[in-house]
Amino acid sequence: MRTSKFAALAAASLVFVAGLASAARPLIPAGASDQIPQRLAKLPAPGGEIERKPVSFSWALDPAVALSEPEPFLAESREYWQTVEAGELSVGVGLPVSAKGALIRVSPARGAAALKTGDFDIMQGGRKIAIAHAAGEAELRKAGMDVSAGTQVMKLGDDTGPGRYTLRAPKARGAYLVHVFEPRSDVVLHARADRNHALAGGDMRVAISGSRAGKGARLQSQALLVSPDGSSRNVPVRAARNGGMEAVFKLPDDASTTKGLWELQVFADADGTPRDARTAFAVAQPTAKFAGIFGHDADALRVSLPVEAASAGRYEARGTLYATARDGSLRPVSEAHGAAWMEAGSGTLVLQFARAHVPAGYGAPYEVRQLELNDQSRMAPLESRERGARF
Amino acid sequence: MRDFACGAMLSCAALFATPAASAAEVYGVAFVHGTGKQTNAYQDYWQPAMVNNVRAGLPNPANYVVVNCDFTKYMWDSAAAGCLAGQLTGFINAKGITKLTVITHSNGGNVMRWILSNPTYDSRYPNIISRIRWVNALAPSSAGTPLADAVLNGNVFETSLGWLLGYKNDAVRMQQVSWMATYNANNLYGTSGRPALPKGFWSVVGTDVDSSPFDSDSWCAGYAENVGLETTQNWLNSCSDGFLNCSSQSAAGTVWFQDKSRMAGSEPLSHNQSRRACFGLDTILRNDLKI
Repeated sequence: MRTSKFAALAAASLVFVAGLASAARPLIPAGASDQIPQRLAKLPAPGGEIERKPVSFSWALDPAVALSEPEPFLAESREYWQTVEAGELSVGVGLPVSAKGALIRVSPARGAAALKTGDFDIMQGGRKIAIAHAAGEAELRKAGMDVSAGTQVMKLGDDTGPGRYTLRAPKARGAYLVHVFEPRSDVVLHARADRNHALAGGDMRVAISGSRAGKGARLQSQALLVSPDGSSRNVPVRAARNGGMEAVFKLPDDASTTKGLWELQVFADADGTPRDARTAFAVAQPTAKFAGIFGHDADALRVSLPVEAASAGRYEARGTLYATARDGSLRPVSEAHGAAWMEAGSGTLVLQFARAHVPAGYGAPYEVRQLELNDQSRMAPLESRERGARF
Repeated sequence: MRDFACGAMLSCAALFATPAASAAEVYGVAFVHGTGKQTNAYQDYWQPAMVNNVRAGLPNPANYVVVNCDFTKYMWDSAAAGCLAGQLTGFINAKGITKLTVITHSNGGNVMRWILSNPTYDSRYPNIISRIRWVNALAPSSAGTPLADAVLNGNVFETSLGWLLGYKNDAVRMQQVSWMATYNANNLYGTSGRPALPKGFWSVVGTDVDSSPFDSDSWCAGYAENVGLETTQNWLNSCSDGFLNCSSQSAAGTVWFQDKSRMAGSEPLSHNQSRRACFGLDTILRNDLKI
């Protein structure tokens, strides 16, 4: 039943496109920030429960509300981590601290002995430092922080200052993760990717900078690219032309399609203070792309988009219809999505905007902006064009 | 803003729907829980006082559903949004609902926003969206929470230790601040600069936490002791409900109200309290259902 419905719709789409062949036009040339697949990846059919019926939907937008591309997330870190063995903890682990009120969290790895607050000594210059506040696993979980088993958090008091502290736990057995978080520190590591999403095999840049009291800090850093399946690889970090540092790297051609985001994890030293930061972005295998042309029916506000798919999957086109206002400006009036299952080969997705969404006083020429092609079956943003089609 | 548009205690439907249309409509309410796998959210998550007081605002108080799904998964997962779509569709069909108010808490707002933002992902979504009147999102984690970042504990170390520190579920991973920023930019609507959602998404924002064994208010589903909170607050801004910053709760849709502006005695709503019948929240939600 599902198959026959889909076949009928696919056939109808082909007829529709054929009927508009004389009206087919090229998409607007891609801009510098657009993502256009330059190759296509042949992947096995996606697993899991994936919708097979074609679905379309549209809704009205308020033309007075301007849209914009969200800036990639700016990670700001006032924290660092280190792994330690019981032998190190029993004699004392050095912890650089840059501000008062630091929190020191100790989490035992599997098989390691869970420690209580009283099992720790925190020293500075041979003097034992009082712990101002402490909480264990049970208290933290009650407050909504689902920490791992055996975790202890100790907060240093306001009478503590910057310097090198020693954390000692003679009863330690096994491996531990020590996390130092300094919410009141003015030593901050910043990291920001240049895009929210990228394609496997493509280039990526993450800007890295450090500051102390708002001014640039001397920085040394390393970076690790971590995929959603947990695998990782080192990526080089270099001085950037405009100050600070940058990690410029090529994403692997065979990037994992495990659902979830990729991260660049940065490990830095800012003016002698360790800092670790994480950024996140989506990476897609280019399983399909727009064919570069579109057909349209201006009266019906229907835009058809030929798609070339190298892999079977469920593909979705989405776009925002901009209409011309009386003052000549283009304003967003309608959002339309259209999705269908496709086998490898050629297909068509249709954006059916609604005439009722176009307010009085608005009309042609129209533009479809924020035009996107997504692989819904692999949660992958494949193609994005700030300006897609004009008619 | 919503109060201004619709009147403090008036229903938006009373303004937007004609009497004839209202008479023909069948109103319903759905309760959508937050992170976690629920099997009896009525008892365990919302508790009867909240559900029963709120649904009393419907013309037919029997037209309600308390959703039980696995929100330890990513929002798009068949056990999360798929399960939610299944339960909402079953409820809509069984009761003939034409005007559905959805009340979400915490990460339930993200799962609902996934459906609203991705109507073509599942053939059941369009009908659900078309039946939705609006979504009342109680303390939604729309921009994630630093506590999710904190519990993941620098995940490269978990990798190097073979995930020995306890792999957190996908929902926690998803609610890291940087991850939600990316999902908001790529996959979800309703945040600044992005297209609006097809239906209203009205957030209730918890701004503070009363926590003291000497303050009886902190006992209304709140925190009876402050040992853990005093620590976790270090990860949050001064404006938070003890789990989410106000900025996260306000990041998507429109802020309906902040707790102290509407709660009895100007009490704040902690993250636990914003899903319970505390300080008149249930009454406000009940009145919002009236036509």
